[in-house]
Amino acid sequence: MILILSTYSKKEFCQRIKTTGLNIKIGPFYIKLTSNIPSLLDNFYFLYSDCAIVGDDQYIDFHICLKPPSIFRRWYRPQVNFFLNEFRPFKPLPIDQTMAFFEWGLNWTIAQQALQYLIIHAAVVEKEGKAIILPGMPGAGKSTLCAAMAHHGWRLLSDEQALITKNAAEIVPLVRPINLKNQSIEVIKNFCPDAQFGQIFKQTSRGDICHVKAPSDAIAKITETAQPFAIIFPSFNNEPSPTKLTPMAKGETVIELINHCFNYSILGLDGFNRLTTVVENSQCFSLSYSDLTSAISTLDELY
Amino acid sequence: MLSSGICKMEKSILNQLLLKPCIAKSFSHAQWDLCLRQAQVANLLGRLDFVLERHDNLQYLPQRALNHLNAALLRSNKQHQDIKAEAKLLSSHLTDSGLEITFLKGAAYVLTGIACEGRICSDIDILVKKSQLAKVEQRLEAVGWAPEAINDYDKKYYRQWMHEIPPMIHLGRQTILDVHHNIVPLTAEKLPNALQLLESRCPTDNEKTHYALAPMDMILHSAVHLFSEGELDKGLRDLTDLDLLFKHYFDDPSLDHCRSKQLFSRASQLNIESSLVYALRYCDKVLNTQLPQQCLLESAKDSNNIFKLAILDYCYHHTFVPYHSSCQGINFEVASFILYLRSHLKKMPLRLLLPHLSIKWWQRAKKMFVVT
Repeated sequence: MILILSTYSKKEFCQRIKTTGLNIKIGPFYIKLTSNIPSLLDNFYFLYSDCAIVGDDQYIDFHICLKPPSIFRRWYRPQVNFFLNEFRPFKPLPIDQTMAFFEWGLNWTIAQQALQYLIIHAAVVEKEGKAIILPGMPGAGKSTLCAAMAHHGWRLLSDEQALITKNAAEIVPLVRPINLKNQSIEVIKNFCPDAQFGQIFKQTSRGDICHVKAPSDAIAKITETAQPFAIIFPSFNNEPSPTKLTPMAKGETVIELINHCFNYSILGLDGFNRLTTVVENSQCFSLSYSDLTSAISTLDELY
Repeated sequence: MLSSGICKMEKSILNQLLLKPCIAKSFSHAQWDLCLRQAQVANLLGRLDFVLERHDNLQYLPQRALNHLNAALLRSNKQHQDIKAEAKLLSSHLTDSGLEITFLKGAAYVLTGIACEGRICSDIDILVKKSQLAKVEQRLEAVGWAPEAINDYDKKYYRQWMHEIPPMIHLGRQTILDVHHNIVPLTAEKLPNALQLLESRCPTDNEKTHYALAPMDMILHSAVHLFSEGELDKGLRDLTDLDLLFKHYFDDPSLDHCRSKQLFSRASQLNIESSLVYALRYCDKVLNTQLPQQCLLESAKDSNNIFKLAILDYCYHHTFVPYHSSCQGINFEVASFILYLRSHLKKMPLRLLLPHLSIKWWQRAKKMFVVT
């Protein structure tokens, strides 16, 4: 039987995460999180409540700890540090951004360490077992589109990282909260009334940030992989304009995707083979949109 | 004190495994978890994969642990590829201008294939003739290398007392390069003659593109570096380098006697006998390296000061561990401090050391003050 986080009372959860650390399954990874920072505890308990608890006798992939740098810094402009196995890869951030720091830190950790996957910086959603990969530079509207689709009939696989398996036949779900920035927070609040939002973090280095809780059914299907079906490069238009889906050549898609990979060069030939296989087996388009309803119905037609 | 110390050392599950690989069979998932975390901190994750494979122990690892070992291997392979590419550029740029360079440490291990198993390097080290140093610097600056930004005191410290110039960085590729003109600081009591090392250097490939020190000198350099080091966060990794270097050097039992003799006479010629003795002693004690009897006997001859040796045993016993919280206690702190002082005392006489340490501590305090 799988034990999920919400079966712990808030008190029990806090006690664990502050002392022994909390073992939790996020996507295919086992993570031990230790922290005593109240804002992280509140947000994490809310956003990850559907995730499975992992036993103490397991091999843990990532040991992550978020704690203040010094006693002094708990009072004067308080800060927080991110540790991965006692190593501190980043400079400290203001303590009220701890939840966002955890999300960024975990992105970095997976991109650096999970070399069993080719990892593309992309959102992934799925229907009928077929996955749409949405790569995009920050600001291209990848997360906005992903959040909208995840609440309109698609299953969320990942908001940030597409994990491509060895033979490139499958994408492994890495279901985590969707990271919305600035005006897209308001857009999704209006477009997805059933979406559950975490706290808004004002004025981070990437603007205002808000996490949308991943739909429960997406987490329940965390072990169900999906096959690559389409690669869509979204770009959001601020001005109202018709939705436009433009086919892209496969070669061009590969070249473009290389720029969106986290670990392409370190995987060498294996990385090239996985990437070309994914592109080979997918329809490739760029999508320009300003209206979510129209964008989603356009993508529906691909099936 | 000693018994509690041994107790703490037991917590380095990685050390236990290195000393006695057969214990891998009985490891639980949680023990593998701790073992790999210690290995990661000690920069030994990639090398651990080779150790486990050599003893046919990979089968006992959970799949998740294997993923991490494979990742470490991919990272070190990629780095070796990058080092070879960088070495090719360096060798061609410098030899084109008639300058000789010899690769040291990590880069030399990668180029010769000796002791390169899963090795991660933070920089590239080269040795040049002191008479060519100025020209080497000029040439490097012409092809994109620049001195890293350091303060005037540190600059003077390097130029006046050190066996290397301030680190250089490639402005395009961000590679760090240490240019040495000797293997121990110029202020050291017994300074080896670097020209003797350069005279017997060997090409690492048939085309003679790159050079490294002779295998014997690679051992001695690694030893002198490790046993004059004051901060041993990479100590355990460096000791495993020595383990592999010894294994390679003593690869033919019929030659053990003669090679052992040569090694000791070379060490005394270069004034670094004590480092060799320590290298043999701690490879044997910490890693159970299979060493020729002749070598161990020879090194026992030298170790006449029992009191000094007991202190060093205590220190190295507690510091040849991963710098991970699970291996650190009061003994670790004491041992590290003693080795820190010892290293500085060996590097320079007190009349230089005291002003130097005061300035360094003041700089550190100032930095901490500014940061907070």
